[in-house]
Amino acid sequence: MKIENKNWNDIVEALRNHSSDIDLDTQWAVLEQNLHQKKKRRMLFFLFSALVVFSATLVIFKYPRHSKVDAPEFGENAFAINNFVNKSKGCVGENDSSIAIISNDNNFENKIELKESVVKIEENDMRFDKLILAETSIEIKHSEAKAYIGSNESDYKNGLNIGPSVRTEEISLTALPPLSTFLEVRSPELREIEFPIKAQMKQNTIWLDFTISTGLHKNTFKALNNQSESTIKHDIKELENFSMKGRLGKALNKNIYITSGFQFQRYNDLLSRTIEQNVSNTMEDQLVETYTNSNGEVFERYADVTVLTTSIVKQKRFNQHHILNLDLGLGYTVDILGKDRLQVELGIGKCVWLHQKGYIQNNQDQLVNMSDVSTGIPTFNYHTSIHYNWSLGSNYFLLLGYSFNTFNYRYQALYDVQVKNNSIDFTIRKLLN
Amino acid sequence: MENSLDAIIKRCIQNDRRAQKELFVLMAPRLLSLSRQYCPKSSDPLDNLQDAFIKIFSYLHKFDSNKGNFESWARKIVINTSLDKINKKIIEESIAAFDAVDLPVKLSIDDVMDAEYILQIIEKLPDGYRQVFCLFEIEGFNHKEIAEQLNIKESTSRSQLSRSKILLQQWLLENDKTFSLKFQKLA
Repeated sequence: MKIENKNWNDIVEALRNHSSDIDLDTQWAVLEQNLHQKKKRRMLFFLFSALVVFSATLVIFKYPRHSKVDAPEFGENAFAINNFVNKSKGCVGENDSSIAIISNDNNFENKIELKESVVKIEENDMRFDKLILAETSIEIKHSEAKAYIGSNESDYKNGLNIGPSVRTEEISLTALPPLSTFLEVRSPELREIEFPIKAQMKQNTIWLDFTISTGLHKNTFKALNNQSESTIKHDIKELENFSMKGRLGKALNKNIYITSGFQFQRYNDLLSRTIEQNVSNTMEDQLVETYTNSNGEVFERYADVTVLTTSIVKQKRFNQHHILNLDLGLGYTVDILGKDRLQVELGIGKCVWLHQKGYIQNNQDQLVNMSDVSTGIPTFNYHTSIHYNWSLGSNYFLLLGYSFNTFNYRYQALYDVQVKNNSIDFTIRKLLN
Repeated sequence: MENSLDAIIKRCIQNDRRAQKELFVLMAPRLLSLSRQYCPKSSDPLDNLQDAFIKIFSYLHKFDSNKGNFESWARKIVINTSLDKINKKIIEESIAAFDAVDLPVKLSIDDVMDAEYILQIIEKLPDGYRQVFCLFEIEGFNHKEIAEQLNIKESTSRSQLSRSKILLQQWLLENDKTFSLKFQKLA
């Protein structure tokens, strides 16, 4: 029931326009000091946040959960060769009547049946185990759908958001020689569900998002090496993922903002892997060898060598690696219907394969410490994301988001390779002298 | 005027201290009147005004001139800052304390229509009464909106308004019989 009096409207108007006496200079001085203190508090807030992030990172590095990776004996078997094919040049032959036994520094023996001028060597059980240093380039295309429910009493209050995140990754792997002539793996599926906890702290036009998430998934996927018709069975027994993301944002104006962020990821994966490949390699240079038979005759052997290699890589591997991604983003945000918010962001970043350690275990249960040889190579990547913040009443919101990231990283690592079933055709000519 | 205010606001967003002072000098006297209307008795209206200005400067980049003028936006912040400082319990208790409310000291203002005089009378209302009265009569909110803002029942808002009017009527009549403001008879 409104007060009904023709004078009341005048009074309301007078009250609305009324100015109270105030000592403006004194009050401004107080306000200016308060504003200055707020700025100082903001700096302390960010310093404190940085300290928390730093401490958490330190703890994670300092106390790895898989201590066995540090066992010293792993290093003993670690060695690398650059190209195993050329090693067959160092053959020395011995002849017993019509049979020549050739051994080379790869510790395998060939039995050679001599005919008049041409020798056919068939070696069906030529085996050797070697550790090969190979450079691997991996690109992970990472799609992530998120749903957070958060409290949103005010746009400007800090909040804690909890919700599931469903992730799909497509991994593209390229291994450079000498692991194989060319190996490309495409894995169409790797899915996991994570439950991140996201804390958001806002101060004025600057905000900090901090997300910790962890997930455990078991997965099996197969990939086809489309370059050399080999099949890779990559059976991940267990993959533990821990990631920590921090993102500092600043609004440039009402709609445009910039962000700078880091993403630290640690993967612990325990996997058994079998790679079977049929790779035909043709040596371009001619193999020339000399040997003497039991009658004292000297032979020179020429070989145009065709090597058909069927290699099998079998591994049980524990691998722990740390990736740090630093990026910059530019975003656009717009209010919809006065309460919801749409946000689109694009950015580029630099990814560093920080650290890798672990072991591989071959068929003979030999262990190799991977951390001795793995080296990270920095690469660039990009990210894009779209978020829709859907207001649920005045206190809560539902954030639906989709993001797409690429993580390119390259590293060198040691591989345990078992090679068998080589077939070599030689042509042998008797020396004239 | 509006253009110069826009220019001041733009400079304020860029943290220009001189512009912030200009805005403060321009707006503080009026907003102090508002703070006096809504600030609970346990808080100082000047302190409340300081808090409101910190918010104004912090969130100035969010101000959208297409949605309303700056003064309305700033008024909302002052009102909300004040209302944040009172709680439901205080309002409910003020109903119980209705009978114990003393009449204010007699005012000696020559012009009975002076806004300062009315404001001083309104300031004497207990917490809860005053905020409901001002939100309803001056800001034009209905009881549902007031109930939401103060986190009280609609019925509480109605009774607060009725009782505040009784009090005001008594005080105005006591202080100045010539005051021409007439309230409708309360049911």
